[in-house]
Amino acid sequence: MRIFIFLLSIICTFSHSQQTAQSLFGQYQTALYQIKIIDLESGNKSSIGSGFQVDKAGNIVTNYHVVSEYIYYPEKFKIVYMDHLGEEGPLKLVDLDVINDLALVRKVNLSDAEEAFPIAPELPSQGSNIYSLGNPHDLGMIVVPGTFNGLKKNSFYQRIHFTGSINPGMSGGPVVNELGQVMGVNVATAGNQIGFLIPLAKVNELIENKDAAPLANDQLKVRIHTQLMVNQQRLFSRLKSQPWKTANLGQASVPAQITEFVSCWGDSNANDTDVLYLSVENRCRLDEQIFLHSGLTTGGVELEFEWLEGKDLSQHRFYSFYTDSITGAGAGNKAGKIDVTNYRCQEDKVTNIHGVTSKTVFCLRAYKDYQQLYDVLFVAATLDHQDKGLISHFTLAGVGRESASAFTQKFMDSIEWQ
Amino acid sequence: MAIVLELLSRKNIPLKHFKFEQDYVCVGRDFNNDLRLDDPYICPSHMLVAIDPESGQLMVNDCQSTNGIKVNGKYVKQANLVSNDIIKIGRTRIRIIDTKVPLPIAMPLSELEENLSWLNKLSLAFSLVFACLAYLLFSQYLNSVEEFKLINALPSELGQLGMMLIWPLGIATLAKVVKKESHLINQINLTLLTSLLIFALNLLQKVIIFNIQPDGWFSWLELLVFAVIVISFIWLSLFIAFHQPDKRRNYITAAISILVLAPILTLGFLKDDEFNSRPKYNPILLAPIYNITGTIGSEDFVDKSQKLFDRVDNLKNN
Repeated sequence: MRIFIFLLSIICTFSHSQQTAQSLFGQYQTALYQIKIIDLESGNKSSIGSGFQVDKAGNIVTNYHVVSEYIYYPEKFKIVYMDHLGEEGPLKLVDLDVINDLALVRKVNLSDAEEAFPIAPELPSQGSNIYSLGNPHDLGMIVVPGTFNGLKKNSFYQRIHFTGSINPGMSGGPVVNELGQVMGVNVATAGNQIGFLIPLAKVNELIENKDAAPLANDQLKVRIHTQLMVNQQRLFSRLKSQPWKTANLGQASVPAQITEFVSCWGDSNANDTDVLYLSVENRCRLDEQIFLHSGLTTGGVELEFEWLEGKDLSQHRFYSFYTDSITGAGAGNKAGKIDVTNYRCQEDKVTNIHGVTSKTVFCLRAYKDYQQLYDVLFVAATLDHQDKGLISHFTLAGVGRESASAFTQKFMDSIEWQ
Repeated sequence: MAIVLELLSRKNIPLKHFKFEQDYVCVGRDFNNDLRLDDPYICPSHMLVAIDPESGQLMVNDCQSTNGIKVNGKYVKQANLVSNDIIKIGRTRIRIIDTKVPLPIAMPLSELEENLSWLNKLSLAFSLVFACLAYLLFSQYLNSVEEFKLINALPSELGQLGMMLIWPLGIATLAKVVKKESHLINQINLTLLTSLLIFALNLLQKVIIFNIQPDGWFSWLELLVFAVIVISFIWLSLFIAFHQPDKRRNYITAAISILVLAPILTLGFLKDDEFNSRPKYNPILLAPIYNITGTIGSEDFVDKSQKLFDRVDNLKNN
């Protein structure tokens, strides 16, 4: 009997959550759209995503990456929506937030009965049910129930941690609480059953601009540029102001967890008996990158240290191996010929304030569309020992001159012998 | 006056010459002839070469042969001859030599050739082969990070040595065919010496790059030095292999050098700055004892990098 009641209660909960999902679907499907980027030449869609209406004036929120092709080539594409009845209509781009992967578009032609999602006043409590709505795989609108797990810890770009599957086509769809109020936007999936959502605050900031006139084509990149500059300044002033935690690596002391939002990993070859050297690695990186278009990401920071010790290698053998170890370093972000220049490098033998001498290579490339924004690649190898050495390496994507110089200076001077 | 006839190969290379102290020469397959030619297309009594007693001119007469006589490619029954005319009877070619025309004076013996005689030593060849092999093995040893086993390294390095010997073997074979003398030892020694020179310069180059971090000009200097070595090597190789006039040797050297150097120049230097997501830099690291020049402070390094920002900004405009 007890078992029966237990089973009954399980079924009830299940049907309850299903009911909520269904009612949500019915209630708001008129305000949920599929966003399509149409190639003007072929007349076919080149990418799809989801979007949701936030007011009666026809403003729709979606992901920046859904409309990124249009933003980069406004003459080649147009944005259209498709509603739940399959009706299509043109959209105009009103604003964008490249850092938080959001875009605001507006319906050109309004109907009499415009529906909009209400915006939640605050984030729900951790563990409550939330629902992600969207349009994966071009199949029509679906609802994915999940759990709100709070804001992602140690994240520079704040994201909501969502347990539930977000599929690629659901990008830009809303995430609603049990009352059907929007509290986030779908953005990415990091593997099975874990998704990340853009939280409420960022959506609210974007919606503040809902009365603005649509952005002119030549203003799109200007807007992105401003946002990138502000963001890198915010990130690097934080990195510059706080003291860097150090860790011991071999005989050196190196910066490790320089801030709470980088994640660090370590590795060594201590269990490899075939080789005659010891290698201990320490790697830290900022997990999120900013998506600009399918061939260009930016905003990343990577730090890598490798302690090498030629246990049974003579000094010449060690240095030959040491040379190979700093050969062929590459960019940390994705960028193509149309986006950035080639790298140019400066090399020297440098002694830092702690008396550590390194062969140092500092390389830069500039963003073609964005003034005063660069990718930095740095490699250095210490020259103080006969058969031991420390390789230090970092890459920064999308930084300004001052930020890059300040970071480089601090990085170089943060390495010392124990 | 004598009649001199020269028997030629099909490509007009002299095979044998005959000098007759008489005014006429009968040519044919018959054993009674002055010049007997064993060619089935020649009649027993084929032609007569004679000096006209009145004018003193050389002339040729067909003795009613089956296949006739060709002088400089034309059929004739009777013709006056001048020096260097080529007569073809049957399948045999004969050149008429006028002994009155003086020959060019002798080529002077080259001092360089005398000075290069030390190259022709077998013992030197052995020691150079040993030195090259030792260098190759040692550089493989330096580049390995696992336990080094000579027996595993030997085959590949011997193979490389074999590759290096392709040139001297090739040119020696050519010399043997053309001149019947190969100078194989000289060629091997020259090639190995050049290789050792290049190896040594390579090491020097590493030390220089490590110490002064040169800009683009240094690669032009490298190319120049390499070009000088390649050109002198080819010239000397030809000099040892063939007795040819300087002009001709210079032409051939220039042609081969261009073939070798042009791809290096176009691939490495003239190729415009193609996009690459990996930067180009010199990764060379050497042990502390090679660190001759001083270092700069980290602040100076960052100050200097401001120029680099301007440099990449300028790339945008290209």
